[in-house]
Amino acid sequence: MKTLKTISTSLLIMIIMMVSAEKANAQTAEIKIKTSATCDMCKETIEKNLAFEKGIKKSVLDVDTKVLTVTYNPEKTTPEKIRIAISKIGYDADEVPADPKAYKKLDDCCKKGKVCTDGK
Amino acid sequence: MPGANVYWLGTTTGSATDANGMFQVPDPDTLPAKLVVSMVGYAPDTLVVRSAGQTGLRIVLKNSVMLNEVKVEARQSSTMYSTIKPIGTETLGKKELLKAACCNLSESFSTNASVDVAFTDAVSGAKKIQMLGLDGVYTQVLSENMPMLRGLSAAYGLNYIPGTWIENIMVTKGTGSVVNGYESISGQINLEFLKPAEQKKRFFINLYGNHKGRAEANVHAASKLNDKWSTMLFTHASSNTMKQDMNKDGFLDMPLTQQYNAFNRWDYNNQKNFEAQFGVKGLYETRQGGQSRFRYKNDNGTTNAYGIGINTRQLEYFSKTGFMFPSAPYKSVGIQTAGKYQQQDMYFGLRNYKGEQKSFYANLIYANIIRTTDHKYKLGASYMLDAYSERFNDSAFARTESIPGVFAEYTYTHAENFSLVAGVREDHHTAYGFQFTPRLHLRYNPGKKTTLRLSGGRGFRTANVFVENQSVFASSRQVVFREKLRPEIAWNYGVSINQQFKLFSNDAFVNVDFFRTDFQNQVIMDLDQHVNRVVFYNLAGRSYSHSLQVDLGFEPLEEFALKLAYKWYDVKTTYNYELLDKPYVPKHRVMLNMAYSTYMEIWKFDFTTNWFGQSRIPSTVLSPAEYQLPTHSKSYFLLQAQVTKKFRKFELYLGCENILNYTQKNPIVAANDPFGSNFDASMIYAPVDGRVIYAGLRLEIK
Repeated sequence: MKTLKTISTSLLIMIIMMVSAEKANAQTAEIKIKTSATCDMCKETIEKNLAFEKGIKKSVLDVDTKVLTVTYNPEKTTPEKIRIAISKIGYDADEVPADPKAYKKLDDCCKKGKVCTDGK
Repeated sequence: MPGANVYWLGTTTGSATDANGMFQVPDPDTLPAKLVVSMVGYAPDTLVVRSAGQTGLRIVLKNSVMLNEVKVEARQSSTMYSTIKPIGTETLGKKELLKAACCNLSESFSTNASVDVAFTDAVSGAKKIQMLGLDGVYTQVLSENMPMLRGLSAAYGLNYIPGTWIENIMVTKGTGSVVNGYESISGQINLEFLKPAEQKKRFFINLYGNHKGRAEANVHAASKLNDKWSTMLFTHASSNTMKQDMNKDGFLDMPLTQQYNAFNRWDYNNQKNFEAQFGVKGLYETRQGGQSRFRYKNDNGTTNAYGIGINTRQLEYFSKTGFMFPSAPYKSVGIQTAGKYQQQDMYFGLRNYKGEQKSFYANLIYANIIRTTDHKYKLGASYMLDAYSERFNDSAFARTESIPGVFAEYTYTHAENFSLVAGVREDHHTAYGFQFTPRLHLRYNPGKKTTLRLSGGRGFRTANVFVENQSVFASSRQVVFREKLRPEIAWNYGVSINQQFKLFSNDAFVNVDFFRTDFQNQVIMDLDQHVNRVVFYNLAGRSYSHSLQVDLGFEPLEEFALKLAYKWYDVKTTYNYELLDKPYVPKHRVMLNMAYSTYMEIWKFDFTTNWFGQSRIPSTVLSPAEYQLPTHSKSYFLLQAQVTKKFRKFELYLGCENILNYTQKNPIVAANDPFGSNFDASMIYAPVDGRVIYAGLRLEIK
């Protein structure tokens, strides 16, 4: 009896985990935002920091075109809020300029006009 | 870099880099094609080339850690089976180690199937590992490829390594490489500590606490002094100060403990041809358990109350130096040295033990190739010195083992899909003369996703009976040595197959392995002969272990990983002319681990179920009826879960071990009469401590 209970508990937890994994992919919208990112290091900084913002599912920066593709939940955030979040990380986002304080803190190679020499 | 191999994947078309590190390869037959760049001492790299006639490719190979085999890092999954290494290795990365936040390495294997965590006794709170159903002492534990956990720390050494200090753990089942010595029998575990030069953040802090009063802090600081020098300081402090007796038998469920542990390492790399690493480590630990009313001052050495205490002190250093030859990068010379002083004082009721070990280790390794990098070899010499001095009650034992040895290992690699490692070593032991250790590993990939492996070899070790079997002293059993004990010698053979495939359009694998260990001599601890005695003698008859493990890993959904393992152990030893199952080793075990993480691992959920089948309990037929135990244990489940939430600057974790609160009923035989002849706190097959809820914080500072 106890064995059965444990097995069913384990299975239940598994199902809950799977369902929540499914649900996480349910409601999504996508936008493309032009940023001032210059290199792979900027890519890491933006993608990592944006993940902590509410409603963000995923973000991928294409370093060559500087375009960031953001997948988000439209019920929890808006494109405006996402642009402001990017600005606060220290980068321009479309028409929203980079927050000067955050920009100052960026690594030298991630500042505008700089070129990263070895891709990192 | 000169001398590196450059070739198209799956073909024999390629070339090598010239003296200036430049290379040219003929265009491949089809595009896009994968270009492989490999070099001894560096991690191989593969890059995709999409157009013909491309020039100006610049390839930077990552320097692998000095004197190591090629290092395979677990970037994707938390645990990885290597398909390239000639010796079958499972790498547990940082991610895997974080699945069970608590605490030291003897506990961090609870989410891994290859290494079992065994319970020892009901009073000391110590945990032991097992591989292939055999005690952890038959597994050689290496610290960055040096045998550091030996002698007095062979059995419980992993208790003294905080999990957060570790970068990754490489687990090899069966026989290991001869380069690391003769001691590995059932497996090899290599621990890689964090490297100062690779730390992105300067400080790391981990705080842990559980509801039973255990508190723990780990603080690391790393600093890159300049291009060449870097250093790192690791510290650990933990304590358990709350007295708990949930089963009301008058004994503490877990002992009161205090541990202070520090490690400082220095790495030097001149970026050309010379590397050096050295470090010092120190440990101080006290454990006190037994009856909750025991007070050391008044009760030690008396029959007022039963107490146990284990005090451990260790001080060690290591150094590693490596010379490379820029004109011939496949050539290198490495020297490893290490020294350790360890002391362990114990009392179990009226029994006393004092042990001291001074050891020194040196290993010289020369690596080169025969004509091409298909044929590599390593030659070397080692020296090991162990001076033991032990006292058990009124008897003193002292011995010095001095073991010089030489070794040779040849590695043949053929076209990516076949490799062979053949090694031999000859050591001379002060007391036991020459010991010859041959070992062989084969790998063959019949297809891109299939890996077959075979291994076989001999291992040899001298036992330290008192420390390795200390649990049994938590009983009234009379200790009897029937004869002079000889070294333990065993042969191990293994076969494994790993198949990777796609399931639910994600990567999946199945791994099946079978190992046999055959003892020629073994130090037998016989608990069956008489319930009031523990008898030690040399093996007379057969002793073997058969182990079959089936692992299945897949991701039914993105970010959701499942690991399922089944293990079958058939471990038998001749006890007093009778072949019996080794006690406390369950025949069947099942493990299920589920891990789910959200994007960028902001949330991480981890859930593990372990099922342990029945195991044999040593005979108690001679006990009075009220103290008799069944012949076999009950099967049971252990569940654990953990949730981690990442914030911008730190992360928090919350977890629960032994969720079902399963404990062994009446774990201590005759707990009401600890100085009587039936008392035994070592008949343990399940947890003594119940459910534990814990929480903690990890913080990184720039």
